[in-house]
Amino acid sequence: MQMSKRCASALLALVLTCAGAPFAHAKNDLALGAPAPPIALTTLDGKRIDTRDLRGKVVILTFWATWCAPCREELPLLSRYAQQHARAGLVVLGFSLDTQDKMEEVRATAKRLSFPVGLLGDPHVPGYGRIWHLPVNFTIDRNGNLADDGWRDKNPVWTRERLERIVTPLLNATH
Amino acid sequence: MRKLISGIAGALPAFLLPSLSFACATCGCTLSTDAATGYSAQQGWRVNLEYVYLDQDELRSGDGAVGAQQVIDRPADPAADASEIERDTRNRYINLMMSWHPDADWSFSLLAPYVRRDHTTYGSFAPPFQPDDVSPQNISGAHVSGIGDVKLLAAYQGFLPTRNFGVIAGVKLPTGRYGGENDDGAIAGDPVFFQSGPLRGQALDASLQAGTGSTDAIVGAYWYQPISQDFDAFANGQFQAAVSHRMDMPGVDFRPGNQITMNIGLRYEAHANWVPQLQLNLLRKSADQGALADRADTAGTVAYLSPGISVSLRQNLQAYGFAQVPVYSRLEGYQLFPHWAVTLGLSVAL
Repeated sequence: MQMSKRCASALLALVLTCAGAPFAHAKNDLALGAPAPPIALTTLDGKRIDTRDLRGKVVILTFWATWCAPCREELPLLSRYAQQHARAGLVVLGFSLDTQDKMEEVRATAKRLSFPVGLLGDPHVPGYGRIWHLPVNFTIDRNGNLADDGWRDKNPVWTRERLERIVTPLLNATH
Repeated sequence: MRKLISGIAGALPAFLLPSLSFACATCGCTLSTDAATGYSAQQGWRVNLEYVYLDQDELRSGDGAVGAQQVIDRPADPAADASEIERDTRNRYINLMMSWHPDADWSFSLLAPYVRRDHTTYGSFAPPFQPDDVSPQNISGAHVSGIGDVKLLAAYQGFLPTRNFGVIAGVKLPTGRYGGENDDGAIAGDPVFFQSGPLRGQALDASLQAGTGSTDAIVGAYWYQPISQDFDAFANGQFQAAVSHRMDMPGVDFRPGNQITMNIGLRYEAHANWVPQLQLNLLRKSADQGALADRADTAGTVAYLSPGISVSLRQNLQAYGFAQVPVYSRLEGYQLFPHWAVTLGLSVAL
């Protein structure tokens, strides 16, 4: 009985510890037309790019990994599109879900891309929820509002048609 | 006197820890520590310290509870002159696990249990059952305390780029104190003896010692997968069988039964710092063999439902706690079985 009480106390302590822990809220709070949750990319060369500093730009957040075959197909397309529309105010931020041991492969891939890349680290992204499948992309308009939610698209891989349909109109819109 | 089933338990998405299953019979050690803290491809060292409490305080047979009278009047082994009425086996395990991940594909682990076990029994009686059989003066007690059988395990998860499927192979070594005594009084190994009651001076059952005296081969596999934004599913299984046993002399031999453990479960991954989860732990154990084995009372199949939570206390430090509630048991013979079990652990990445 004494041991039962000890076990119960230990479990209670764990629950209380949990209750007092600084919870990283990673719930998916995305709503089309509402302000996009802020997110910052720390690039492979250590530069920090925060979406809050990109107001007036159209921003694509793309999540990928070296082991993700569909990602390897869409990244060159996205890179060319980003290069072609950089002057129109398009910024693409590439978040890799690779781990540190894959850094060499990530750098090799990043070298071929026109947009900045960094490691995401924890896949729990506040406001966007857990990045649980790849690729997934989110598009933010010039006003900082969410224009496209990748979680809602059953086929979220970028194609030329999809870019023209979702992103080009945002680039053509005035701030 | 021989004791059978004592436990099943035994799963991490970012750290790989093989399932723990220490010196347990059909009822005890089944929680999957791997799943509890999350499977991982992270390189480096990881240390896990775990406490398991398991009190086998109910006599069961088949799928239900039984009374002492049934043990005596309907013996599991009809050829036996007498049957034992066991009273309680209280197990506490402190499990130390050290794992090294040289890269994202491989990991090597050492699992060392420290066993503290208190066993009481009324002894063996011929039919018919008499109420005095279960009188307090018939209670004999034994205390076991020491290092149990150590496991060495290697895991490989490089088959898929996502590294969410892996295989495990390893051995359980006879590092724990083991031994037993047959009906003629011949002793094998270095057993713990009853320290109180009418059985004082007799050796505790071979299956209740800290070690089994056997070297066991272990093979297994594990898989986990995000199945939605907030949930991961996982499954793992292990098969363990003795390939050699030190108590191998005719008349005083003992070989623990083979066992299969399977764990399936869900982890709620909406929050980075705390992960509620639910495991279903299944164990199938075959009967112990040999003259020192209680062959009639050591086989069975049990299932536990194990709700729990893991919490990230710091970046590299996790705590976890699980309660295990048996939801199914089909036990051969008569075996002591727990109403519940608790596992508490700390896991640190170095």
